[in-house]
Amino acid sequence: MVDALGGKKVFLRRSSGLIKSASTWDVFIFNVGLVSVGIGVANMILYSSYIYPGASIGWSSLIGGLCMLLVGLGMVAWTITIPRSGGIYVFGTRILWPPIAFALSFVEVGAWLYYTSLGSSWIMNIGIGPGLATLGILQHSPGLLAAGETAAKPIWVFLGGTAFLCLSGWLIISGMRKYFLSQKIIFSIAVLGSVVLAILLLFYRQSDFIQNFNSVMAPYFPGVTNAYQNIIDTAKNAGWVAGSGGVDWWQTFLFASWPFMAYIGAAFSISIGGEIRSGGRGQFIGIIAAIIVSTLAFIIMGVLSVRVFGSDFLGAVSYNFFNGVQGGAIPSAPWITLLIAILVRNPWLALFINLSFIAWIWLWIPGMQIYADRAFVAWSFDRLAPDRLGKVSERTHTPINAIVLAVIGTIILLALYVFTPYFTTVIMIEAAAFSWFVVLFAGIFFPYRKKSLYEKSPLAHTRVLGLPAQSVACFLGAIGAGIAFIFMWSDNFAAGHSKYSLAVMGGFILTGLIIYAIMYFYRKSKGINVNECFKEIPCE
Amino acid sequence: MFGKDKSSGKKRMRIFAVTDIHGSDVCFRKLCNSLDFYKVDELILGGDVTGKMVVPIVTRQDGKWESTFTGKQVLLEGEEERKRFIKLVKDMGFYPKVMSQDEFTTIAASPEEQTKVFRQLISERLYEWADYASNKLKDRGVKIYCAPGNDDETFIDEILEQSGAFEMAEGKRLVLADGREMITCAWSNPTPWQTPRECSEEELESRLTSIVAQVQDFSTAIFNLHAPPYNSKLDECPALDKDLKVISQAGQPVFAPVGSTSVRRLIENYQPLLGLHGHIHEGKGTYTLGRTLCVNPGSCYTEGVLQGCILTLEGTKVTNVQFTSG
Repeated sequence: MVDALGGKKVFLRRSSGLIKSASTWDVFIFNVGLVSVGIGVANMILYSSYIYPGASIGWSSLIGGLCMLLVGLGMVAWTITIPRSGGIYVFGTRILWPPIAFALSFVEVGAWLYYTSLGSSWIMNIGIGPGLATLGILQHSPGLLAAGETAAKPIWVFLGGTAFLCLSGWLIISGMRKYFLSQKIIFSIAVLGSVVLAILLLFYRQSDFIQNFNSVMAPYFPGVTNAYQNIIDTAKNAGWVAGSGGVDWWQTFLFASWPFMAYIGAAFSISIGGEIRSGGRGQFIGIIAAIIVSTLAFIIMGVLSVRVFGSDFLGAVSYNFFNGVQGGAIPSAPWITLLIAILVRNPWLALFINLSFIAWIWLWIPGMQIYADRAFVAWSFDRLAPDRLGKVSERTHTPINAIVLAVIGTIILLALYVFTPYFTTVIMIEAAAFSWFVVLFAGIFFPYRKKSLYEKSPLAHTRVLGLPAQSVACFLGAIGAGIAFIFMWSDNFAAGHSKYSLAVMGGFILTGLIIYAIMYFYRKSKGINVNECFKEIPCE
Repeated sequence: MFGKDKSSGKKRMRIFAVTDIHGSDVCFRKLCNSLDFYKVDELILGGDVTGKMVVPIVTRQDGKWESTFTGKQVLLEGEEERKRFIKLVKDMGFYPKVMSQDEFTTIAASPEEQTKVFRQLISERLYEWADYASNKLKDRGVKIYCAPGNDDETFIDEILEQSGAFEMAEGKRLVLADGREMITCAWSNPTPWQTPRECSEEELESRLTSIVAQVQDFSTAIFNLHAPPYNSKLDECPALDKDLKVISQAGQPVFAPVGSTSVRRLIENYQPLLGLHGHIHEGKGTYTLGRTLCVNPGSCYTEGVLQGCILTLEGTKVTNVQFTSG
C-alpha cells in the first residue's frame, strides 16, 4: 500500500512496529508533572526578598524560563537525533570519551537522587510541618503548632522523608500500573490546588492579607496592633536590607536559578525518548510547551504573591524567622502554604492547598527514582555497574536491586542534607547544569564528528544560517545551561563556588571517574573491555 | 580460535548475537566486521532481517530526482547527491528504487506491483549481503548463523539456504563450533499487524516442541527463538489501542508484555543454557528463567547503530554478558 500518512510517497509492507506515536499532549503532561510548581513557587516566596532583596520574581521566572528554553532546544535536538531512552548518558556516550560520559551521567543521576531526597524533606518542611502549624495558628491550638514545629525538626524531617522515599520505592517495585494510577490522581490534585491558589491570589488584596495576618498573629505579638508592619520594622532594625523599590537586576539574575531548578523537569522526556516514538514534533512541542506553560505559571503565581503579601513583608518575615529575631519572628516558617492559609482563614481550603503542594513535591519522588533506576540498569548492561543491578525480579518484573539502591542513595543524601552543611540547597543542580552544559556543548560538534550517524537524523536536512540544526540548537542550549551555571556559581546562598560546593561537585565527578576505572579494570580481568560497549564498529 | 578455561578444561566460546536489523545495510556490514572488532568466535543474526519500506526516487523531467525522507520532500541534484541518498536510505534499512513518474503511479496504484517490487529489492539486498559477507569472512571459515523473523516473508528462506555466507538456522538443530546445540524458530505469537510468520500460541508450541525434540543436551543448548518469553521484561513494548496508537498514562507510554507464553513454557520446562530472542526492539536486556539466561540485544537499526550482545559460554555456563551499541 502507499502510505498516505502526511502525504509521504513511500511503499510499506505488512510488518510489525508501524504504530502511531504517543501524542504530544502525553509528552507535555509527562514534563509538566516533573516541573515541581510546589518546590519552585514555595522557594521563590520564601527566599526571594529575604536573600535577594530587589529581585523581581516575575523577571527571575522569565529569565530562568528563557535559559531553560535554550536548554530545551538543545535537548530536543539531541533526542531527535538519538531517539533513545536514557537521557544524557546515551547522548554523552555517542560523542564523549566514555569515562567522561559516565562521570557526567553519574553526576546527573546523583543530582536527581538529591532532588528526590530534597523533595522528601520538603514534604515535611513545606507540607506536613506548615500544614499542622497552619491549623495550629488558625485554630489557636498550641498542640498542633508544636506538632508542626516538631515535624520540621531535622530528625523528623529525616524520618518522615525516609518514610516517603521508601513508600515511593515500594510503589515502583509493585509495578507501573499502581505508579501510573497514583501519579494521575496526585497530578490532578496538584494542578487543581495551583489553580485555586492562583484564583485566590487574584481576587484577594494586600489589605485583606494584612488584616487577616494581624488578626491571626495577635496572640503571638501581644501589644502590637500591626504585626505585619512590626515584622518589617524589626527585620530592618535587625539588619535586613530591603530592596530599593526598583528592580535590582543582579539579584534578579541570581535568583533566576531557583525557578530554573524547577523548570529542568520540563525537558525530562529526553529520558524516555525511545519510548515516545513521536519523533521530533512530539518532543519539540512537548518540551517547549512545558517550559512556556511552567514559566507563565511561575510568573503569575510569583507576581500575584508579591502583590498580595508584599515584597518587603516576604523578605522580612523570612529574615526574622530564620535569624530568630526577637519580637519579629512568627511561630512557623513562612512558607507560602502558611501565608495563603492566613489569607483565606479557611482551614479546609488551606489544607487542600497544602495538600496540592505536597502533591507537586511528591510527583518528583517516584519520577526521579525511576530515572535513577533506569540509569543503574543501563550502566549494568554496559558493564559499568554490578550485574545484579540489571536483574529483573521474576516475581515483580521490576529491577528491585536498582530500585533499592536508588532508595538507599536518596536516604543517604537526605541525611547529608538534613544533618550536615555540605549540601546547600541547589549545589547538586549546579553540578547537573554543568553536566548538561558539557553534553550540549559536545552536541555542537556531533554533526561534524559523527557525520554518518547524524545524516540519519530527521534534523540532518535542516540548516540554520547554513549550519546543522543540531549544532545551532546545542550551541543555544549550552548558552542556556552555561548562564544557569554562572548564576549558581555566583550565588553563594544557592550553590556558589566555596570549597564545600566545589568539593561536592568535584567529588561527584571524581567518584564517577573512579567507578568507571574500577569497573574497567574489574571487567578487563574477566575478559570484558567496557570501552567496546560504546565504540562504533567500522562498516567497511 | 577457542580459549580454554585452565581450571575446568572446558572450551570457552564467545558469540556475538544481534537481531532485528530490518534490512539496514550499515548494520549488516558492521555485523560482518564485528568478528574481529569484538574478537568473537561465532556470529548469530536473529530474525527480522528484511526492511519494511520502499523509498521511490522519482526521476523528474529536468533531470533531477525527488523523494520523501523522514517525512520531508527531498530534491536530489546530480549523480553524487543521488548516490549519497541511496546509501543513506539503504543504511536505514529501507529500499531505494529509482523510477519514472509513470512507474511510480503504476506501482502506487497496485498492491500486487508493490509486492513484486518489495520481493525484488529484498532479494537483491540479501544477495548483496551474501556477497559482502562471503568476501569478509571467507578467510575466517565462519558463517553467520541466520534466521528470519516474523516480519520476514518465507521466500527469503531459499536465498539464505543457498548462500554460502549464511548458515540458515530456521527450524533446525545446528551444532556450533564448540559442540553445543542451537535450535532456532522464527515464528512469533500473534501481533496486531498480521505479519508473515505469526501463529497462535498453540501452533507455536507445536512448532517449538517438534524442533526441541531434536536436542540432546539441554544443559549446554541455545534456544534461538525470535519471540521472547512472555512477561520477561524482554517483551515489554508500548501498549497499543485498537487504532495502533500508543496508550499513555500520566504522560508516559504504558508498557505491556507481548511475548509468547509457549516460548516461556518451553524454556521453563527444558531449561536450556541460553535463550536468544529479539522481536521487541525496546526489550534490550537479560532475564533469568530458572537456570536459563534469556537475552534480547534490542535494536535501533534506523540510527545505523548495531546493538548486540557478546556472550562468553563455557560448558554449561554463561560466564560473561556484554551489551554493545556499535
